[in-house]
Order: sequence, then C-alpha cells, then structure tokens
Amino acid sequence: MSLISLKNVTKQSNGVTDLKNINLNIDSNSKIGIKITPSASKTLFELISGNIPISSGSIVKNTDSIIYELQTDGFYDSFTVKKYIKLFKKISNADNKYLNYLQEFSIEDIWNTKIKNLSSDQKRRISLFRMFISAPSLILIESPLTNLTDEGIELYLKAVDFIRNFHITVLFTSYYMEELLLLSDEVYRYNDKLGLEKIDIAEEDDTTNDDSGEKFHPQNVFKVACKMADKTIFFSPDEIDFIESINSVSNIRIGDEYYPSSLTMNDLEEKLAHFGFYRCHRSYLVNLQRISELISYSRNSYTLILKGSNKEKLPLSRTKMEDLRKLIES
Amino acid sequence: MNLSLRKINAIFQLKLQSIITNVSIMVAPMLAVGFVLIMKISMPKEVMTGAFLLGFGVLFNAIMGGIMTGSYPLAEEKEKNTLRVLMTSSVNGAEFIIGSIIPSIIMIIIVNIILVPIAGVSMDKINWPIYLIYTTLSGFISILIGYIIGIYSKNQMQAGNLSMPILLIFTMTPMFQMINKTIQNIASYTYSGTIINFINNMLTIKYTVDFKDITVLMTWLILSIIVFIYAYSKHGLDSE
Repeated sequence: MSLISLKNVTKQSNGVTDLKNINLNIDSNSKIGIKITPSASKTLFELISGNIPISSGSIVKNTDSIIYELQTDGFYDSFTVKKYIKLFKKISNADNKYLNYLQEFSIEDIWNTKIKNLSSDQKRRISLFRMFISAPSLILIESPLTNLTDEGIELYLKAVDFIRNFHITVLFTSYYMEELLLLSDEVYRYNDKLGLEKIDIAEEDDTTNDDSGEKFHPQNVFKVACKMADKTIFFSPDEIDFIESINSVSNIRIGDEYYPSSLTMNDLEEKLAHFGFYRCHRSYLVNLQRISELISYSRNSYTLILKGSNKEKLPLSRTKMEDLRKLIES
Repeated sequence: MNLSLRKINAIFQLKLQSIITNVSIMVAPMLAVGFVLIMKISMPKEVMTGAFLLGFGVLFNAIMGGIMTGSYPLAEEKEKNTLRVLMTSSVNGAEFIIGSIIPSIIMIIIVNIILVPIAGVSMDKINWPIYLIYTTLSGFISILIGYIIGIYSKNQMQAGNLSMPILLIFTMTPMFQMINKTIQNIASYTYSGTIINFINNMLTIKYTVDFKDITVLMTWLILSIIVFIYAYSKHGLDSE
C-alpha cells in the first residue's frame, strides 16, 4: 500500500527553488533512503508532513500519522530520559506497553540519567524511541548515523530493524551515501537540476552494448567517451575519480562534475581494470590511485575516502574488502 | 484548531519545570521579593511607605516577570530546536501557548499575593478582588508582550536585547512620573502607570473603580492581543 506519493513536486520560497521535480512513492514497509542536502531534506520533510504547502505538483497522502526528525533537533537537557519520554508519552497518549521495549533501544541503563550527560549515540536512540511510542505509520529521519561511534551505529540499526517489525515505515535522508546503504534498500539521489534519481543498488543486466566500432586500438590507450549534447568528450582514465551508476547510466565523476557514458558498468569495469580501477560496490567503480583512506563505520561496511577537496566517500562491500587489500598490496 | 487538554497539561508541566529551573526568569520574582524586603528593612519608614513598596514589587513581578516568562522560554525553545520537536509531535501552536501561559500566570498571582505581607501592608487594607484582577491583567498583558518579543527573536540573547528597553520603560514608570506633570499624565495611560496609581490610591485614599483605569487596561489588553495574533499568524511560533 502506498502511504504517500509525490508527483512532480516543486517547492519555491522567496524566488529560490528549494526542491524541484520530486517524484517519489513511499510504500508501507519500504526502506527508502535519499541522498540530499540538509536544507533540502528539511523542506522535503515539511512538505511530506504537510507543514508547508507545495508550489506545484501533487501529493497524495494516505496517512496523517507522520513524524519527522532533523539532525539539529534538540532535547530538554535538564530532563532525565524517563521524564523526557514520559512527556512525549503524555503528548501522544501512548500505551504503557511501549515502556517494555527499552531494552530493544538499549536505553534501559540510562533511564534515570539526565539527557545532558548522554553521548550522541544514546541521544539518537532516545529520539528514535520518542518517535516510536507515538506509533506513527511513517517516520522521516535525517542523518541519524552522522557522528556516531561504531557501536552506536550498530545499536541504532538494531533499533531501526525493531521499529520496522511494527509495520512502521522509516525513510532516511542523508548527505552520505554509506549511511543510506546501511539503513535502506532503495536509494535515491536528489539532483537540484533533475530531481530524484534512483541509484542502482541491484546488479544490472549484462547488456552486450560494446563499442564494436573501434575495431583495434593500441593496448593501454583507452579513453572514456562521454557524449554531451552535440559533442563527445574523451577522458583519460587517470583523470577520472570514480564512476557511479545512476538510473542504469554510468556517470563519470571528475571533480564535481558528472558526465554520462554510454558504456555499462560492466564494460567499463572490464576496460578500466588495467588502469587500476576497481569495482568496490555494485554501483561504483573507483580509481584506486585516488583512494586516500579506508574507514569502517560498522562491522559490516567499509567506506573509501577519496583524495581531493570534497573528500568523496564511496561504499565498499564487505566481500570485496579482501580483494581490494590484495590488489593494493600486490 | 483542535485543543487537547492532555497535550495542554503535558506542556503545562514541561513549562512549569522550565520556568522554575531557569534562573534568568526566576530573577524577576526573586528580585521583586528581595528588593521589597531589603528596602523595607534598610530605608526609613517615612520614605518607604507600604504603597511605594508594594507598587515597586508588583511592577517587578508582573511587568518584568511577565515579559521575561513570555519571551525567554519561547526563545530558548527556538534556540535549542526543541519547539520543532513538540510541533512535529502533534502539539499545535495554541496548545503550546495556553500550556505555557498558565504556569506563568499562576506564578505571577502567587508572588503578587506574597508581596502584600512582605511590603508590610495589612491584609484588610487591600481591595482583594480588584487588586488581583488588575495585577493579573497587567501580568497577562506583559506575558503577551513577551510572546511577541519571543516570536521575533531567534535566541535568548536576542530576546534579552529586545525586551530590555520595553522592560525599562514599564518598570521605570513611577520614576518618570516624578519628572513633570506632562510625563505623569502620559504615564497614567500606560498599564504599568495604572497599576501604580491604583495601588497608591487604594492604600492612601479609598479607591473606587475608575472608568479611566479600566479603559486603559482593556485598551492595552486588546492591543497586545491584536499585535500578538498578527505576529503569530504572520510568523508562527517557530519562524526562521
């Protein structure tokens, strides 16, 4: 069942476009993640919950019990966890049975602690519990894992799974892809020119879309061709930071720019393997020369951080970790 | 707009606690009681009459306290992004305002009563119904002014800056009245001036309900309600 569906939704305020061309269908029990900036995320949440009107497009809502949390949301610091939760329990007229689930959120041990003495890991889980007890059908959360420790992330993911068992749909937004990959199955990216685009997490088909026109070319000379309007641009492999698959199109990323390529990820992987490219994730092909750091946010996931001013982060599947290590060390 | 008593009650308890634990708000009633006490003990009786002391205390408590309990907590909720959390948890603006005005009013009424014995005025000299109605009304007007300030400020510091000149004008009314007749005349049209005149008259000559006093208080009340509703409908509580 579809909870909310947005069609061509655009929001402008004071002559500035905050959100453009949003097409999104939130089904119940779906696990959607959206890569989006914090300010756009706030606008999106307010639109979905009906706090602000849309400028154009349409929203069909099949539920009104929506609650959302932004990363900057505050707490009453002088309150204990118990008092804080009781306040919101009273506001939402929640059932007492919810107080039996403290352990699932790992907050039983801090029940009588003042909120100002808690870590951000714990605060995040309290906030999640607060939303859970109001028994909404849809929860929207912005960047819950940012600044959390590994243990904090693990406990938070456990609590999110627990909430999802109650048929509460949880949608996440974040600016960081790896956060979304941990929290959701279906990931979209917001582009302020094109709107929402689905990122292919599933393996794409092995299409035989090879460039047979180029019959022979000297070994080790390869340029990636990108067609932009009426011209074709060629990039040397060493210029490319990484390649990302969006809506089944491989996008060459150089600095801050994206250039779509007509080749599939599989073709590119095959061709670029000689130039030190590695398929670190189903949707990502990374130039190994650009890697600067490897971080593990939780036991099951790793993140590659690239060189350059914007320190782009790419997910690395756990199964690929060993391969990559061998590649780099050999 | 639906009002839920349960939510109002929840906000009431929340606000009661946040007012009592917020030192910068409690400073007004404490100053009111403290100053009256100190002046009564340290100054000669001929200067510090009961009327002067009580008037002084009520001004501090109802005017300064009222404006502060209106503006500071609202600005604090906005500054710490906790108001947004309440609003997304299905609390609406009216529930929030009602739930937060009640504890402030109760505090102002209680301190206004306590001030009478502290100022050394005997209980039977006070015209209680009128005293309570007038002082509570002026407290209510001050709280509304405080809310208007709260709506227009982003944080507690800004709320402090905006409320300071207004606080000074109204709490200093009796001092301005001493300057000359014209200013005294103007001051009698402020709600704080009305309160001072009422207390003076009640304790020196017998006070009879005066048409001008009621008109002045009512005009201030209606004006502040109109400005408040305008500010609220234009900016909401959580404007950015």
